[in-house]
Amino acid sequence: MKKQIFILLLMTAWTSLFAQAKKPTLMVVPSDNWCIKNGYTATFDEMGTLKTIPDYKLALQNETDLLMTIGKINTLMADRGFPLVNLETAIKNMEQESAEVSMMSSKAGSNLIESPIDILQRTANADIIIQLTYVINQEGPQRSITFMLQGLDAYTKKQIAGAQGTGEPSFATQTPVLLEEAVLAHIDDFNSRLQQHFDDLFANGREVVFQSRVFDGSPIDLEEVFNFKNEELELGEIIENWISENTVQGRFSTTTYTQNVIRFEQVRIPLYDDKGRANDTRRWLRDLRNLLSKNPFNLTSKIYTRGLGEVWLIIGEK
Amino acid sequence: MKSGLNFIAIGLFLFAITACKTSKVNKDAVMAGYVSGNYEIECMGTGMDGTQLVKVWGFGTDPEKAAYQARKNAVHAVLFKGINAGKPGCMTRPLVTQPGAEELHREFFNTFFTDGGRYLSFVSMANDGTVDRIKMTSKEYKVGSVMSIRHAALRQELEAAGIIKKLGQGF
Repeated sequence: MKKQIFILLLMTAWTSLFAQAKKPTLMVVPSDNWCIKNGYTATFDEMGTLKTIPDYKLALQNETDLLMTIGKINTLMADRGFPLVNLETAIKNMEQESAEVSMMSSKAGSNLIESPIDILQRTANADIIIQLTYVINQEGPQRSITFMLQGLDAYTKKQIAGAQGTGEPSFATQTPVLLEEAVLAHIDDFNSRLQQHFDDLFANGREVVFQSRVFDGSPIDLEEVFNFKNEELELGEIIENWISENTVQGRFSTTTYTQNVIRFEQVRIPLYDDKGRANDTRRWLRDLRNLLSKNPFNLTSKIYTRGLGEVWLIIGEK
Repeated sequence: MKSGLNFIAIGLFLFAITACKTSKVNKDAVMAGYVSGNYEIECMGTGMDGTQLVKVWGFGTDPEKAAYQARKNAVHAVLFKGINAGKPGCMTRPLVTQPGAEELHREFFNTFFTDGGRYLSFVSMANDGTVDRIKMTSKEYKVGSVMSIRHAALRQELEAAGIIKKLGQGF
């Protein structure tokens, strides 16, 4: 028995020692501004309103300079030990996956189930989007490049890193050379800021967004009052208290509070759970779901995640 | 007689203050050559992968010493100051951003910046060796030259020494 306990303790210690936080994925994409200016867009009708979105596939197929710039950034980041998700490969993989999902069937002829939300989530995505914009400036015979990299947190929508500037005007330099110089000139400053963001993450926890919502079939809403720990509180307030107790230094802000939706932003969740395991939004929220499934609540709820950075708890049904 | 004593006392007091001040200056100079932060540096452009070109000035009692000091200054600027003047293309942020890191890792940097130390591996003359030379006083020269700094290799050296973190360290 003692031996078993010892082995268990050893395993726990081993896990804690080598636990690593979930690594965010990064991907370089051309900015909407660049795509629209260069005509790489697709238009679709959304409930009577025409919407223009960037067409990354078309841009990558036609613009060698763009492909080269993304490739250069990817190479430099890989050299730094932080390989990025490649946009072109991600798009191809998504198309391939779609084809496979629609074609696959069992021996008995059953198809794979995919809800509309599964289809919606099957998009090329990353936790941090590196948005790339460049403009070639022509002034008489001289050319220069204005270059901008923006590191955008896909969930908090904050710009967490950036580097931009206009290069030295030149008479003879070709566009690919100008672009390569611009990447080399800006990538280190960009990475320095990115590292600052990671340092903040380790010190203050990962910043996520949490929403609590209610299914329309739910018997209660978020203003339902419960007697919990000798206090008469609304369900929303109980959730708020739970968040306060389970965030780094109680950091979060409540931005919306209605009977159907409560939205918490700047929620700082610890990178590791109390057992030293890497934490993510689903794992973090599991305890709240378990709490609500017990007395006095006895509620069924569903956890819905949006990447590493956003999680919803939907009350009433699974 | 009394006024004479007062005069001597004031004189001694002023002498003591001057002596303290001089000793502080000397101490700074002895601490390490790279500590003096009054050098000028400007960006000359982006070099090959992981390098940048700068024009940097150094001071010394003879032109050779000043040229060596300029090399130290170039590396020091990339490490602790960033290059914020001149043409675009250089890192405006320093490699070491942690406040007080220079003091915290004093031993490492003292060894790194010793005459003929490791810092020389990361800096080289970028042209044919021509320098701008200004004679400031009879005993002081100011020498400026264009140098190429291998900032990517410098960063790797600091990462290996544990002075700065690797990108995404801990994930």
